[in-house]
Amino acid sequence: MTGTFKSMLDQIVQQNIAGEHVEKMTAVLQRIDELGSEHSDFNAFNAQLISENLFARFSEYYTLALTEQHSASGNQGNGVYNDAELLKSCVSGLVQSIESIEQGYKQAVAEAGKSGNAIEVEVLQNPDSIIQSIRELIALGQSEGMTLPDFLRIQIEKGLDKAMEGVVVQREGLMFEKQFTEANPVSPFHVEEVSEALEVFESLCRNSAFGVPESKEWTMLRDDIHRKYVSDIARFIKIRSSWEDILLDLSIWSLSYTKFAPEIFPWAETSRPFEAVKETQNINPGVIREKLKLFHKFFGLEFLDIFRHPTFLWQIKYHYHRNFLNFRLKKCILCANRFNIFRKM
Amino acid sequence: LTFKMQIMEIIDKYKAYYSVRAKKYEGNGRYKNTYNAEMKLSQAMQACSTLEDFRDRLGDLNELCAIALIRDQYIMESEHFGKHQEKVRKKEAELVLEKIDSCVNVSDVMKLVSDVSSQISVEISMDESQADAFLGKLHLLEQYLVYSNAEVPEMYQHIIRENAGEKLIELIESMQTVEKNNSAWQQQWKVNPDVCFEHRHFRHCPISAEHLQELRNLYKTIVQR
Repeated sequence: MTGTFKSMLDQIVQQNIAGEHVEKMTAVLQRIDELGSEHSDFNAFNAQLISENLFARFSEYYTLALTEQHSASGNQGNGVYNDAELLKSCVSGLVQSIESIEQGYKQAVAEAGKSGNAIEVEVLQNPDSIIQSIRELIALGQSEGMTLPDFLRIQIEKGLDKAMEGVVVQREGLMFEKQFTEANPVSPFHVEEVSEALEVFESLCRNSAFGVPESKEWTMLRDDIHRKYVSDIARFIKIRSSWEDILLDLSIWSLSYTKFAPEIFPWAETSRPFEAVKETQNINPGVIREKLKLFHKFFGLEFLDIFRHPTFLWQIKYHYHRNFLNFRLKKCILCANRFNIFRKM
Repeated sequence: LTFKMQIMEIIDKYKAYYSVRAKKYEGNGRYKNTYNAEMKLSQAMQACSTLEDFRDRLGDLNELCAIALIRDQYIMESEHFGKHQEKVRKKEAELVLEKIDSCVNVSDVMKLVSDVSSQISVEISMDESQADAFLGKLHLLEQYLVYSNAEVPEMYQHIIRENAGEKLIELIESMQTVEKNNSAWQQQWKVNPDVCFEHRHFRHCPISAEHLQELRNLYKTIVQR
């Protein structure tokens, strides 16, 4: 866990930066190590770090050490303005940032690989788009005849100053999110939400002075959109999961009446499959009735309402295979009616 | 070009740069303070005729631009969280805005932001835990109700009631775990399901307030909170 801090301190040392702030960084890191050896409970360790504000203090000293170094190097040359040198220093900072982004990405992939999630992290956290934006900035800085003030001005006019904030890759990210949501639409609200987000983002871009929105402004607007849909999404998912649960119970219950029930899951897994089958046959109707009562109480829906409900129709349209459903439901409902499972509804 | 001409060219380019910086925020009401600070900086720079002038006139104007940007961002955050009744999240913006005038430079502001943010992030986590402790366990309460009330033949009743008992234990244990974990962050932290009726949490609730109250009463009886 302290690896990141240690590499930050190493980076400072490698740049031959020393002084009060570096000493304080070292002291904070020592304190973090001390707490690490004192606590066996990770949660308590983390709480102690936060209460002593150690993460923030370390970052603060790190920033101060770098700032001091930067100011000192800017004053080199007895106060004579050296545009080429200043521009070179800006560009080399960008080159370093690519290195650290790539290093962070490799570490994240390696870390995820330990739990078998490397591919997911490799795809979803791929920093190529951000790196591409930073490379464009570097190319601008290295173009012939470039001066520092032009470099600074042009990057604002082209929105390249947003490279490090990642705003330039927002559109791409939103489009990916939209396609992903449309390919696997959890609810109509998810689809509406991401479409609206893309529209608002485009409108914000159009109204921004240089075509790229301010990140904070966008974050707030994106959150507004999410909040608009969050209650509908919660209700949609709850209604769907409630009837899915009921249908699953019904399905298992009807399956328990097949001749081969004791030989299949879940009954075959028990020590006494025949008794377990009997249990399902006797317990599930009462359980299903109680679940239906809560379903009606919370959402005003009866059993047959499930099949007309927008959540069900959505699942049919995007997620279930109609033939499978027809077979399963017809069998289940037929069986349920025959055994009068809905008698107290 | 002579050195002097080169310098004059650089000066003009810096003037153009500072002018573009201000223009970026022109007409954007959310960045009023930033625009004003950038305009002051740009105006000071436009009046320069030598590089020495730049250094002399710059003073703390650049720092004031950074502080103005942070101020605008927190004003936005305060309005945003106020609008959405996020009283805990809003605290960070309120505290920063309350103290930002006492900061003399960007380092001071960064320290303020970092201190306040650490303090409030703990409060936010504790608040979110309240929602997770109760709203996140509604399914267990429902299962408990189902298993407690299900009518089954006499010889199977002990099984279904055992299931209900297991749900009770899960609810109590999850409450005890979250209280133990959270006490490491905030002494004597206790679960309080009443907090979940406040808008910031209730918006995540899929059932009506009336039904949630019924489940809340049941939850309180079970976990004795």
